Amino acid sequence: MLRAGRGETIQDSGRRGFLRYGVPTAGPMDWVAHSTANRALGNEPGAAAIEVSIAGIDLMCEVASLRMAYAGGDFVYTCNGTRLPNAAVICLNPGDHVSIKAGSWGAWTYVAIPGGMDVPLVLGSRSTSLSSQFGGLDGRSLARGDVLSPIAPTSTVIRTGLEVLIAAPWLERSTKRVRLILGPQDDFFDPASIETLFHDTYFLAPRVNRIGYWLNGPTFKHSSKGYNIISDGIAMGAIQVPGSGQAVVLMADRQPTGGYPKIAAVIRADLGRLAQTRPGEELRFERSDPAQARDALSELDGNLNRVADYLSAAGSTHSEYLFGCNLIDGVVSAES
Amino acid sequence: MSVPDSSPPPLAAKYLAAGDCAVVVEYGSTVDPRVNDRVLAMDAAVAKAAIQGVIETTPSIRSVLVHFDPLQISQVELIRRLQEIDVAPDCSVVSRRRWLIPICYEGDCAEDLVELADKLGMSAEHVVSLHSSAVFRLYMYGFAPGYLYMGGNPPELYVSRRAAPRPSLVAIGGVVMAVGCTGIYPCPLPTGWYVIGRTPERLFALDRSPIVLCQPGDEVVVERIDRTQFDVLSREAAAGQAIVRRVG
Repeated sequence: MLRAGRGETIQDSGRRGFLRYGVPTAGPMDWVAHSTANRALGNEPGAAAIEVSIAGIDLMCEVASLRMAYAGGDFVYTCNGTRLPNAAVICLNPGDHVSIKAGSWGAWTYVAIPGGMDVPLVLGSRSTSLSSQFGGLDGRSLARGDVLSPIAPTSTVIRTGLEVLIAAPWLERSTKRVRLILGPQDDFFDPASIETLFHDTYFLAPRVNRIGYWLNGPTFKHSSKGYNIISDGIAMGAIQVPGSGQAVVLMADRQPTGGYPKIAAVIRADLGRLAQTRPGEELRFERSDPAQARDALSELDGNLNRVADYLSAAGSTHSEYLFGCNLIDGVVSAES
Repeated sequence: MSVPDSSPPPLAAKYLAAGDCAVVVEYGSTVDPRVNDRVLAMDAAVAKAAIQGVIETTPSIRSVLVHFDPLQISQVELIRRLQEIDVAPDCSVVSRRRWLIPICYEGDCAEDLVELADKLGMSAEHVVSLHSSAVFRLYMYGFAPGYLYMGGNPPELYVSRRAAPRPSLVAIGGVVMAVGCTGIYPCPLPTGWYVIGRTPERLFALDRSPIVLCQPGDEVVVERIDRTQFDVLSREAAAGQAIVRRVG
């Protein structure tokens, strides 16, 4: 690790079974991109990967050859200074330098290596919990000088550069409305506030982290029931509204329980899309229901299971076509 | 209608969607041991039923959040299964142990004690004497790994939470109280409650099995210790010794 911002952590699919003891799940902010990067390498979909924030990272391959996959929002990826496409499997040899910097949109991208990042399991997971200070690398975000190795090392000698392009349509930018299911405490809100939620525009506030995304926009009004509930469990994507009336969407590092009413929750199929939003960007919500949410998730899951259909070896017709479209400039020189 | 304390109250559960991957099974909206018994009994029953697609549950004071994979079981089907289970929750499975937790209510361990005593119009000693004689119930863990959320505060000590959180963090083991409840902090975090004491016990320890000692449903009583004993016991806890003792 040559450079890391403050928001880079190791994340697998999250810590399961310990919410009851107050332990947050953690896991990726965008599970779809995380799963895509892992699947492109043939890993388990929830294997431990590096979650990269818009602060970006610089990595140097050391010791042995290594295959690496990445997928996420729009970032600028380079290998030894040569621009790479937006989601791909690449090959690295000792001395090769990969740089990832924020691009035009998106908040997170994921770097996967064969078998996953070899960090210890803590309570059954390799995910970093920053608030609990365990998991990943000593419970902290990554820093210059950290060394990470793959659980399944690459044994063959490989040529530096682009190996496989991931042209997955679900990684493209989407401005579609984020779908919500009302509840469980929508009865704590003025009916007009519920109307507003589905008709007005919200903006992501500057206050954004792995715990929650605060929303700017129309203030929510609580009903006569007030804004204190007896603390209960919180699902990922729950929209919680404290007394101030400013809502926060609770994300991967949320506490397992909370004492403010939750007006609605983002459906799982749209969590990744929401996670990729940056402060200041617009958010619009649409009402959904469990059946529709299940269909959406089923479609997405089907696509993820067929990720192989969206991979094309560098140099194949497909990537030549993309190169011709000037979408992946630099591919040729990266391989030379 | 009076309900004998030993039997579960006739509480009808509400089933509420919490997004598309979780369902809340809610038994009430109060901090009540009978409601919590139902929650804990239901939580155990859900675990026992091993429903395909249920990932994990978060039992809390008055509800159970059931996390599930909608691709393995639909929400409608899950609720139907949960309703079946809920017909006869068995409260005898709820943990009913009693633990003795040493707490120091002195000096820097009790940063907000004088402020709280002034607010309540009683002496600091009276606050401590009331608090340390109470029998608490562990309602749930929440907020942070190993954070004990307990009810059973003496009614004389009722105080609302602060308008804004205190400026400094609560120390590890910090004992806080407000809104009729007592909490114990496993790690340094902010609070809007009042810090009145501190325990030397490690409430959450990854290097210990079990990682937590008390289970929701258990009772907690206090052993008052002074500042010197606090230091001695802190060293013993750091060396891996259990400070909390089971007394029932």
